[in-house]
Amino acid sequence: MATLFFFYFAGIIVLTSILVVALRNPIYSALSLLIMFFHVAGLYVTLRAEFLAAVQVIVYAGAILVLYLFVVMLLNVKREDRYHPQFLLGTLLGLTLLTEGLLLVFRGTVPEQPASVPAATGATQAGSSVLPLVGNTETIGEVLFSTYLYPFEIASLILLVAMIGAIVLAKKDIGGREA
Amino acid sequence: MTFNLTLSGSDLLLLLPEMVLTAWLCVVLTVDFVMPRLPKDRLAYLSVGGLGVVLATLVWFELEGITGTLFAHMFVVDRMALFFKIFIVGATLLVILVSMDYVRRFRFFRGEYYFLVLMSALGMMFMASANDLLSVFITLEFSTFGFYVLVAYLRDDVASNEAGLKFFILGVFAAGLLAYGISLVFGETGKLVFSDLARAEPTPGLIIGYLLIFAALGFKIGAVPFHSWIPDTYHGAPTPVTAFLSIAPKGAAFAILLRMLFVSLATLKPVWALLLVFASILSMTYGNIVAIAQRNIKRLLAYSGIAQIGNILIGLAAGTKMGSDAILFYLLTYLFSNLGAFAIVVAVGNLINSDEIEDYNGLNRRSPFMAFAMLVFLLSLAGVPPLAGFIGKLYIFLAAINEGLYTLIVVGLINIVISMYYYLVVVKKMYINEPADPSPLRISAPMKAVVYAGLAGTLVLGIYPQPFIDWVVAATLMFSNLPGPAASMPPAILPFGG
Repeated sequence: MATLFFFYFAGIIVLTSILVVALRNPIYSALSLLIMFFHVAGLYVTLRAEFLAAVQVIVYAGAILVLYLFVVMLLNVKREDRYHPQFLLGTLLGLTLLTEGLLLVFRGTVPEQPASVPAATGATQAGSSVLPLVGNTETIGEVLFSTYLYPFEIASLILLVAMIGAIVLAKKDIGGREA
Repeated sequence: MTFNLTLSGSDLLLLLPEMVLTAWLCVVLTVDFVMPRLPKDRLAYLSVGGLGVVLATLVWFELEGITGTLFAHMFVVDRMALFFKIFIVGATLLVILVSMDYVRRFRFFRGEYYFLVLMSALGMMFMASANDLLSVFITLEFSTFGFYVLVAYLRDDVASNEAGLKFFILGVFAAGLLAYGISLVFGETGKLVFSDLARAEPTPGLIIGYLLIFAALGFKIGAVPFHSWIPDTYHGAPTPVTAFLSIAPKGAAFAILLRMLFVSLATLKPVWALLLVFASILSMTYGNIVAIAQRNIKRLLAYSGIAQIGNILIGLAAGTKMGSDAILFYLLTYLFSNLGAFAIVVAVGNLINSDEIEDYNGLNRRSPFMAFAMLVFLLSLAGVPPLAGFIGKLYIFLAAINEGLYTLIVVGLINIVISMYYYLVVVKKMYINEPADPSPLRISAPMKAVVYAGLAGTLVLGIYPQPFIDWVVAATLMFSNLPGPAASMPPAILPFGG
């Protein structure tokens, strides 16, 4: 079963990655990238890395891809390339998603997260040495601030450089500040 | 949640130089922000002062023999790390002095320039201490990030933007290769620390992983199959940044290469030595031949830089303790000669606003001091006795002879002759051709200080290299158990020894 899922996810990842570079319309490319990100997240779930999967969806699919789309839309894509009459398909998909969302909210059958809920009690009772009891997210947090403290701190410095660098390269003229 | 973080004060002492620099660059950034009217020259001197303090702590470490590892062997302070840190901090100090006149050309964010230079230096200091693949990746990215911005600092200049974009795209590609290679190595062995990796069996996945890692590091040092970014980036970047880029990251990358090849892969030496022989021959020949056709002094120095990297790779291909000594020594000579040559290029560029070799015509009439200094630096780069470059090349070749790499030495000697040609073309233009505009050129005080430092380094390393040879030999003592007969070779067979 796991192998089946692996090949499904891997196949879709390869296919959509090719589509990202092969498609002519940049918006379609960005959307295939989105599908790829979701399937990578799925791959993480099969590896029992729920935290990584969630981060993948939130950071890549959520933030970075929206940024891509903004840039693509702001740059001059020809108008006729941008939209296609797909209202029917769009409405259908939107309705499906809305129904799913409403069902989830009102039926309340969301399964409780198996890993993280017992973890909170498990960690306090058994201590951190019993790793299987501790959830994925907690383990990552603990390791990040103990074993991998050094790369973590350097990453914070990288963010500082990136921030200053982005300002230096992209900020508009600021009259009269410089001596 | 319990944290098993065990860091005592004496552990943190090992991080002292880096912590001082981190604090200092925050000070530089804050001072620039709260005092916008402060002349930027003061900021440069503030940065130089901070680097002086860092250098002092490093020298104190070196004299007291303070060494150790931290964070489960991710961060190591040994003699070799200290050597490279002193090398990097020294290079940064000189580069900041070289930049002071040039920074006036930037229309905005002149203060942030110094901050970014210091930040790159900090990243490279961490690189010198990287002792596992994770810290290699993260410190390499850290130091490169600052350079991505610095290369594109001339925002109104198309060449600088192009250089920045090329460097960024190829750099990110190399980072991808590095990450992929590291993931393969980690997947095959489950280990990251170099000394643990030494015991791993060579499986196909492991070998592909290592090849990818070395491709990324080859990009970083600009060895031939991975050199394509160098000419355009060096040409378009602000000249002081080119000077910085041509020296400091090379040193830091060689620290990582030495640790990986000599510690993790010592048993596979025949394989990588062969690859390095090819990379070295290609780098030397390509760099030197293409340099002949150049009309721009920055491009000329870029191609000559590729050839010099080829020379250093000879030492790596030798794969012995003596080879590593020779690499460290060669980097020292390269620091003084190349940075000196770039200082003259920056000074001339500031005065006549051109980097074309044609405009060096008759430089001797216009500024005898600069022409003489350039002559010394170029001859040292070519390897003429009694200058530093000669001893560096001799040391590298001796290390290769001991390993019987005769083909490599023949190619290297032929290349010295080729390189002599294009260095001497510049010299001829400076001394024999008539200047188009004979008005005298005056060099500014901080620039003069750097040129004097370069001259002093080039001459002292050439005439009395013994203390420096002792230093590099001590710095690489960790490699003294490497296989090969040259390990027991005393370095005193060099001429001009004290």
